[in-house]
Amino acid sequence: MAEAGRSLKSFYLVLGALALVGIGLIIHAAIGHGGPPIVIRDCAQPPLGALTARGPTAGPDSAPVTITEYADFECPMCARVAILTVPDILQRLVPTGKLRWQFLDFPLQQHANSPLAHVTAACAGAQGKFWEMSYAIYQHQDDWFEDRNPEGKFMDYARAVGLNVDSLRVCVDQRRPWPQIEANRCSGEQLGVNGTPTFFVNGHPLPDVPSFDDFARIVDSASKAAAPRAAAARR
Amino acid sequence: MRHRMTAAVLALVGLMVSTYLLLYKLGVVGSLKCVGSGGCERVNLSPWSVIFGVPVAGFGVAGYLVLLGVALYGLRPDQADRPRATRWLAALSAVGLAFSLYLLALELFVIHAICLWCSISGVTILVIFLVTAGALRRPTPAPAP
Repeated sequence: MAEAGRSLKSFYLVLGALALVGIGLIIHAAIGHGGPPIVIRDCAQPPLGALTARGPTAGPDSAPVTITEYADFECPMCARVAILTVPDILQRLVPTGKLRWQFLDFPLQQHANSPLAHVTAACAGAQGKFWEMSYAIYQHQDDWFEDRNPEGKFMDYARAVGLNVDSLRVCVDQRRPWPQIEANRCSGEQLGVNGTPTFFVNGHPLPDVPSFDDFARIVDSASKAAAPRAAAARR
Repeated sequence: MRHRMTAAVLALVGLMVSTYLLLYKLGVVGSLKCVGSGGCERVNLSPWSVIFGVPVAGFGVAGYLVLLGVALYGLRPDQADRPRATRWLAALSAVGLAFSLYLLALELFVIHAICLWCSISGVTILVIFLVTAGALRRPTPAPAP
């Protein structure tokens, strides 16, 4: 009986040790993920270096109208625009040759997962699939915005989009595009952007968030206004 | 007693695996360690990874907690000669095994991806069932006079 008690005691010790090892492994998995934390810095502090604002574009550089969107992947209104309006713009307005659409990052301080989303989308852009990835990130915004670390979910969206996930993960973990994202955000701050989404038409800010029909009208009138100027410039 | 010890150890392993998957599903763990090309993430982010609004891994955590509790209860000296805990372990692990087989079928024929951690959990529940069901088939020793 005493021997059974001793062997039971040893068993409980082994079970306890196993539990501790398991808990340790889980904690390691929870905190020991890929890249370093991303910190949004104050644009007024250190200089930005040589980087100027540069983001993914759709449409020809020679288009008479350039619309720039400053957006944050965790912002609900940006998601609404990205899902309901941007696909129409890319499929119906950009092919007319009148519009060049530009996306510039503006991750907001209060959105904890936004920097990683911007980094992931930019890394997808390096593989030529920025628009597809940004759509997927926006489409699943409700699934990841409260996560402590949504990297796994982003990789799953990337896989569905057809990206090379292994090289995407390397790019994301190294935070490669972050300096450019910061430069884009700071360019927005310099232009007075204080919320998202904010749109600029040929450098002039729009007061509201337009619908697709509004954008179509804006592109039409701005391209008509730009045509005489372009003709005069050619003469 | 030995089969209950085995069940307790395996239930603890299953509990750890399920907790890991649940933490991933809740966004606490960023990415799953897995072999192959992301089968674990594909399975755990598929629409079938949630039942009635509860992550499947959550059912795993609850199930293994119950199994662990029953196995530990069965290890108490006053339960040594009573088959009740073993019966419960066999019955509960049979339910868990059926659920695991359903999930395996989903992986193979619907999601078309295999999740390593889910497979480990499946093997764990299978062994718990075999060990406890095997113990039930053996004649119970007569109680001490």
